[in-house]
Amino acid sequence: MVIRTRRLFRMIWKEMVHLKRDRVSLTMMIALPVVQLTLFGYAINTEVKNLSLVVIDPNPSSDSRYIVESFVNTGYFRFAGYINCYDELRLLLDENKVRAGLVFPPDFKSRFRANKSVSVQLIVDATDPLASRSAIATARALGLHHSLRMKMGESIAGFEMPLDIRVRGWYNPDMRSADFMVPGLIGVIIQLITVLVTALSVVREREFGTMEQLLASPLRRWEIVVGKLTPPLITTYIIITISLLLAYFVFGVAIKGNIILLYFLTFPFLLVALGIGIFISTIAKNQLQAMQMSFFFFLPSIMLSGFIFPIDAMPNVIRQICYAIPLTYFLNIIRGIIVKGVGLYELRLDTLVLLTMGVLVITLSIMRMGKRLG
Amino acid sequence: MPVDESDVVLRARGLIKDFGDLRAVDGVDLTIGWGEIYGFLGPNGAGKSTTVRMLIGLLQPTAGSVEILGYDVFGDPFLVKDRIGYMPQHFSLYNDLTVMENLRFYSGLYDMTDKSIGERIDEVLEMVELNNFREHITGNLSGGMKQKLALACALVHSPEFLILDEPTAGIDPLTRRRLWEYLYEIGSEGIAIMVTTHYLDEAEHCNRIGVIYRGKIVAEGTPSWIKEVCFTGNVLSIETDDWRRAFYTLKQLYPEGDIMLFGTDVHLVVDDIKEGEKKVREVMKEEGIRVNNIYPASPTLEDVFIQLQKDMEE
Repeated sequence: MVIRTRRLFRMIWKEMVHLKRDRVSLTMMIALPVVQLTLFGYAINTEVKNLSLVVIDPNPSSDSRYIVESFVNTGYFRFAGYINCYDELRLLLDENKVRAGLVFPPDFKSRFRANKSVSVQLIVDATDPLASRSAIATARALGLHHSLRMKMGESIAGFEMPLDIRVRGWYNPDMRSADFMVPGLIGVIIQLITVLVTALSVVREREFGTMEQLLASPLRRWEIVVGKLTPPLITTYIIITISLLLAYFVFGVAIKGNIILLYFLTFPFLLVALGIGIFISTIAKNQLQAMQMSFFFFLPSIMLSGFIFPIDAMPNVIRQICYAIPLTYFLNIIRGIIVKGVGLYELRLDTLVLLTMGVLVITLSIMRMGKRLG
Repeated sequence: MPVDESDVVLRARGLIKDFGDLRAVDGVDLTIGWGEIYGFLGPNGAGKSTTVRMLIGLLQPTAGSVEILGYDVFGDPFLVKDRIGYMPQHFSLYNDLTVMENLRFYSGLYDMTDKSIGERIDEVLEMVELNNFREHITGNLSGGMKQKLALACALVHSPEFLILDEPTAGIDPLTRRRLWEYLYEIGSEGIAIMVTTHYLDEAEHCNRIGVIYRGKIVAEGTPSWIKEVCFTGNVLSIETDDWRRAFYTLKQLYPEGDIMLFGTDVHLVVDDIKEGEKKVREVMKEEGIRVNNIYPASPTLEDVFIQLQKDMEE
């Protein structure tokens, strides 16, 4: 009994010494989440604001200025100056100097004053549909608003809409994309680190021939696996803690649910990630291959887990793949607890799926590990 | 040269290993007893390492059985692993760990008390003369020192059977000699040792050798026995002023013959000593190479080996 625990202890101890000596990897593991979170947290912003807007107005008037001002006041546009003609607009759009152009007809003032129907054209660079969509929506809303004003005059204050649809965004009422992105990003980062670190540490043993010596010793296969998994498990929890602190203090993302539950429910996901790391290491012949395989796994994880694009919007076949990706379930868990503040009951299914996946992939890896030597 | 039944430490029967269509090991039988240093000899790719890895249970044989210390290697692998020491062909300690950390790690995996671990580490470090390098990072040690440390790690749990796969490959001659001295020392304690090598001169250090060629054991016995029984013909040792030219001249004279360099002497295997000597002197005279001395020499293992290899190829 004593010897059994000592073998496992020695294995874990050895892994810790490796980690301690490998300053570069250790620094990377801590620096990666900090850098990634800071960069992505700020950069990945699905609310597009401040599109630069130029105006073509042959007969400038206070009325047209009023319309331009109302565009700028929404915050979605930034006034970038007046230009003279379409050709100039085309050039500016081609060169990415501006993103939108507002074109007034020559007779705008007279028709507007006379409460006659008048067309104002908004040209938007729709290369990025995400950016153009909010600009278009804003323009439509402004059009409706000004039309009502023109028809109703000053009595608009008392006007009641016949059909009034009022939207309330639950869980994230201010529609802050940080609340959505940051928890997802934490999931992506810890998966990246756990899979990669585990895969590399096992493959390294094979590449340097030390695995041979381990297998010739009385170490059991499961002891090797558990010994390999423990240090990345501990480091990942440290990384999660750093990330959550960063999320709170830098992005103001507070955890609405139970933080202890979050730590507990992270474990099934880590089990899967660690298992995949080990599994990759049983296939890869060297560290380079292990890297490549890990990235081959990361890409669909990022695209199809609902990290950026909602799964509901995907075609049926693709959706089946989404449900085979562990990150999908963990994103439900981490967003559920941080943003929605839900409990274990609501997350029972996701937890169960991850646990099953974890046990499966680790068992499979332990089985493969011994056979792989031949 | 059978081992006494009560002395058997390792017994392998009919070991076969196929890799796809290739039969790497083809029916190897081995018996090794207490106190023996068994040399497992063969050219690169003959199946030495494959055999060794099957012996200690790292590789499942296609057919055959292995018993070590009375246990079935594939039935009770951990009972066996606890009692054997293994030094793989390639250096397999952790370069980023210190000498002590490597020893502490490996000793911690075996059935030993904490107290005996400390004493044993001191003992093996003393033996391989690495006492002053305890806190050094293994990766910074010289090749010879690394090999000494690998031996210390294989010995730290006091194994009853020690298998070393090419322990002297690629290290300096001085360390090579030291390693053999250690092996004698360990062997004198009564444990069984199996060493694979492709250095023929090393085989002379062993009590018994087995020669493996293309997956088969083609000769087995004490070094002197092998020389006597497995060798036909006589060895002529020829000392000349110009061994290079002598060698190539003789090679032309006997295109099919066994000719090899032994230091700066040329060894030639002939059927008849007298006739051979006459012929050699004639040719040397024609070529104008001065012959200092010709005498019948006893065959070295290298001579035997080359002949065995030739016979096998035929």
